[in-house]
Amino acid sequence: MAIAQKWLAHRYNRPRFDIFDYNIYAVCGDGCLMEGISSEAASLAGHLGLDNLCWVYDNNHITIEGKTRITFTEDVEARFLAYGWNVLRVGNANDLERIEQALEIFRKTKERPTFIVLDSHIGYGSPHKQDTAAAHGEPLGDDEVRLCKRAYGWPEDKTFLVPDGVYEHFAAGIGARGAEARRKWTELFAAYRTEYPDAATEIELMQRRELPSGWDRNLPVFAADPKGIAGRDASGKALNVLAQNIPWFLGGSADLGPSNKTILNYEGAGDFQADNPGGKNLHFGIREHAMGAIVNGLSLSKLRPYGATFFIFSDYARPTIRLSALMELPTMFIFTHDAMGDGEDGPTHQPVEHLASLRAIPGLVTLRPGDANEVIEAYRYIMQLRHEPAVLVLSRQPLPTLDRKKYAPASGVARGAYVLTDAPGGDPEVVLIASGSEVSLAVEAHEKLIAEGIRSRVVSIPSWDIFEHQTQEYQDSVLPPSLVARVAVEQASTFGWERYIGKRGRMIGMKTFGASAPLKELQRKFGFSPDSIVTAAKEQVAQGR
Amino acid sequence: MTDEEMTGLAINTIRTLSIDAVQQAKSGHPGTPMALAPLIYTIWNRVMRFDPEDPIWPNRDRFVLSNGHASMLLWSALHLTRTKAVNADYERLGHASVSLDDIRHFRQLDSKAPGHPEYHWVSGVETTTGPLGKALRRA
Repeated sequence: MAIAQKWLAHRYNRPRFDIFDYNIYAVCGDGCLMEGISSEAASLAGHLGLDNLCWVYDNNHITIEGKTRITFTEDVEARFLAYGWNVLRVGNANDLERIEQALEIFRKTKERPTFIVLDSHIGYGSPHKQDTAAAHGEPLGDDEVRLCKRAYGWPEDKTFLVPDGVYEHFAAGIGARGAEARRKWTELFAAYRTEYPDAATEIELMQRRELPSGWDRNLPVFAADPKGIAGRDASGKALNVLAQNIPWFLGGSADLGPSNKTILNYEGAGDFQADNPGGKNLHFGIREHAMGAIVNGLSLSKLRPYGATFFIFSDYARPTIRLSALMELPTMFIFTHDAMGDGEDGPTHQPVEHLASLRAIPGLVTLRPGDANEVIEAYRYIMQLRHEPAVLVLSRQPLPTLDRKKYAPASGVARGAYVLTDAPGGDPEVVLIASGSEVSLAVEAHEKLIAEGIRSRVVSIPSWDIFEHQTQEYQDSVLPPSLVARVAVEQASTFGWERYIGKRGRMIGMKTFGASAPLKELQRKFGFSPDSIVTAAKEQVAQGR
Repeated sequence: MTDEEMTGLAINTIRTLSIDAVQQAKSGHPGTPMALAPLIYTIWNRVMRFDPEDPIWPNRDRFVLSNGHASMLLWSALHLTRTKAVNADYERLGHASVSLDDIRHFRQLDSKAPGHPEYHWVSGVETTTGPLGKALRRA
């Protein structure tokens, strides 16, 4: 949110027109600061000098297992000073004047985020539970509630009481101040619209999560090419087109931009830094968890953001992808070096269970395109989402660009799965189902099967999630229930594929971790070759006869 | 009533609403709201530029409760400021974001006062804050 405010202010504010000048207040506790992500986040916020950001740390020395002296004895103030923050301390959580003063100092501080340590007493006012873990996560109990109310000078028998005057008190405070600020801003924006109509239109479109007209112009189409192009390279071209068409589309990688091909390299794209808050290339550093959270924050601020890393490191960002789905945010995560693309780096760098794990997140659209044109169509689909996050899983190595005159158009991506090709001369005897780098292997196997007189169908399935939202009629037209001879092939865990291959079908996938070797050797070892698909298909057909 | 007394009353309203809601639900986290009510009061009523009539006004200050288990702080603030609801298509609705009845049904099905702050479910929540720390970066 703080990065978004800086970016928005830089792009849209003009002399006399401070359209975006808001601040972000976050309240956190001991637990928040123990979690690793707080370190990633604070480190980057300090580096970027986000002076619109204020964290208030509830320093109460209590967590669930007891006093923090058993777990958390570091010097938190020194830690934040080291991150380059403005560190303040308020020694009494009931001292309103000091709290207000600290917040005032925050607003006056430039080029540094502010961290306020607030010493507090958990369960304040409770005679028996104050300053104990018992006040943290359980009801106080009827007797203690009564004693607390007595301590506050509150009617002991009243519940859910809002005394006369309290609503009015807030209406006179935040209500009056907020209404006045919004009124002034609305007038300002009306004048801004007259003077800068294009910029005003951009802001309005963005606020409704709509795209500017012509957002997909110049998206490339790739000609058939047996050598082909890597998924990540096709993606890089799409990103550079989209970022020019959509001013508020921006993002970056967790230090792998040159490998992920996510760098926006057109003139004027720029790098987001403290001294260049209009840059469209975000450098998250090696902080995938914070990256995912920042992407969410940018999206909450109505920008269209993407984050990127190797697919294997999606693990570090996964909790934030889950939250993206929970919040129904149209974020995008670009994960390259899928499957065993990182051959020689070995099993630590080869994702196996990641596709299954992401497919299990409700509301998340996971896409693994099979060639360059499917990559483009995947982008076309993702950009039109308004309430769902998407993960794009891409190859490191070149994939053949399929001849779309011969095979079905790549626009089938928008339906999740589609029939790429059928054998001539009657209904198919066996269906080959594949995603990503395995699509072209399935097509090669298909051609071999035809030559041997076996009628196969190839289904490209870039996205389970999208396919499952199609009508049953469409799903049955792609995978006819009567067609039980099925072979699926995907360089990932076999987990979950039963839903498409049934009890009788055959899955060529991963049941173990990978290994360290050149990609071609790994593909041979683990059976990802046209010949093994042909063999499996023949077995399937033979079983049915 | 002096302004100081009124302020004290407002802060204790946040505290007691939180205590009562947790007691009624037989689950929840009372301790932090009791401690931080003055902080929330100060940020919301004295500092933040936020119009309860329009919680998605683009230039509003943002408030993020990273320690989301203390959600009663947020429900109290949204209720007492009479923040209005909006829908998923960003249309402004006339009714309250969090009603006193929602608070009475804290942590119960369909209540607009769930266990943790949920974006898209409760207007005025800037981000979902479940797992500790995560919201710090979104902030």
